[in-house]
Amino acid sequence: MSAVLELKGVTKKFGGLVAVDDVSLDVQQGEIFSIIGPNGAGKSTLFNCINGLYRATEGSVWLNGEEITGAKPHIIAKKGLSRTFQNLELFSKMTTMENLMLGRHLYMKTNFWNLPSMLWRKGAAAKDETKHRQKVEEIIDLLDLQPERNRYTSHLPYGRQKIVELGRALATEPSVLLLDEPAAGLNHEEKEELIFWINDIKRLFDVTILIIEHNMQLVTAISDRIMALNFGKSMVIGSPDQVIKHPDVIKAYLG
Amino acid sequence: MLGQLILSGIVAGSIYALVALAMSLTYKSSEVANFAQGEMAMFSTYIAFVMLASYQLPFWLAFIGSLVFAFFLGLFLHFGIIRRAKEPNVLNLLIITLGFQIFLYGLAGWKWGSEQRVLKLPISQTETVEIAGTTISQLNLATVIVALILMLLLFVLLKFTKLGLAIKATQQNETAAKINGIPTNRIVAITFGISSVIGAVAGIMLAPITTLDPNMMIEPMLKGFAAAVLGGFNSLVGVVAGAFLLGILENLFGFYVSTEFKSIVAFLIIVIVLYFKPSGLFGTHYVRKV
Repeated sequence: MSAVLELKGVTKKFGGLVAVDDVSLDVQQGEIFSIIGPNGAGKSTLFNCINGLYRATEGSVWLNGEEITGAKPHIIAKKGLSRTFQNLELFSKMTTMENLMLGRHLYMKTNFWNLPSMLWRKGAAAKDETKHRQKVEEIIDLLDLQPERNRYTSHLPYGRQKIVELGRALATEPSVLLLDEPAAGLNHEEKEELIFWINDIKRLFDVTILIIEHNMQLVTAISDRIMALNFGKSMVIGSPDQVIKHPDVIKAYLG
Repeated sequence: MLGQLILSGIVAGSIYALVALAMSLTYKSSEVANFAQGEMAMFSTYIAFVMLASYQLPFWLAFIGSLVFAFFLGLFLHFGIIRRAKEPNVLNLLIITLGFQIFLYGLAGWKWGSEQRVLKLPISQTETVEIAGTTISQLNLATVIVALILMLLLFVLLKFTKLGLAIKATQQNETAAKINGIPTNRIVAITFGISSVIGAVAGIMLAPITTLDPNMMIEPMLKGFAAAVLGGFNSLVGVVAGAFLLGILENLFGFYVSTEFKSIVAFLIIVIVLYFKPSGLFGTHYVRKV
């Protein structure tokens, strides 16, 4: 086992406010690692520091043994880290299919000069396109997105939009996947389905998963380890059992 | 007569369409209406003029040289100026582009003076071509053809290439584009470059019809902007349709009603359209969810 993602003393300050305070953790290959904590505990900020939307004020972030602190999000995406957002960041004027194809953008080769080869069915560009479509079809099948494939994402119900975003993140073939509150706003049935999928995804895509989640039932069902954050500080890291029974966690949640 | 008027309208409309497309493209990627667009085109046209008149280069070389210059001018506006602004809001950015406009206008006036120059294209202005009972000068015909080719190229670029996909993605959702591996800053800078090139083509085609002087792009720029608003600023197809519509209506009004008020009618139409359809004729109004 080796650490796929490692945080060393990550701190993020906004002016005087310390949103994330000296957080260190290491996530092992193939692990499902959850981060819990009350609202405003700095969970999403921590994700933003990992994928490069924010730059950590102090500390460092390591992906597959390589330091990525301060790298731009698109560079980190190329290095194999993908994510979803709490408030959905979809291309709302594109269809499900187009959103997923954008996840393949990293691997695409179609430029102006090889356009003529698109017209010829066996041309390099056409082959390239076919390959990406196949990958996307696999994801559509896995996540049951068939009925939504040609619909604009802005017209889909919230729960389905979340799944499209998950699919798009998978399309980038990440080695580490960050899911920010994947179950928020889903109904009971959809939540059950999600637990199922997350396990499937881990197995089929050989991906390490970090999850921010409020739903304790979901968290305890799928996590290998859990970290509890409060006021930006890591209170405890351990197995689901250890964490939910930890007195500080109980205090933070129940007041 | 009507056919002739419509044809002239289409000629004027194709220049408006280029300016409007240029503005709409950058607006969609940066949410800023670039008011320096016209002056950037004017400046690039001067570069073509200098290469033709002072260095005696062949026309095609000067044409391409001017477009390359325009592309880098666009990149410079974004990377060198707009990106440097600290936490700007839309109004700040708008003022930055206005400042850049005034800067270019002043620089052109200082370097080349306000006298009217002649930019000679290797296409005749006096010889005409007959199309379906109407006559059109070769230059005007070339203007329309060049504009249509440019629109086609832009369409192909946006629809079928990786760069085009990256541009659309950046325009729709910058954060999502970033996490899918798209270097959004570079993409926005490139759209500024492309817009600047489109503007420069409009300038070069227009210069022989009007004259080459620092004021040459002021009116076409305003009309192009107006056409873009008329068609719907966030729809490229709408913007082109708005431009042709404006060119034709303006010409019809000029002939049947009054030449004196020809320019004003454009803005009158816009006020009326926006009153009933605030997002333009073809634009879609959409509100970003918070």
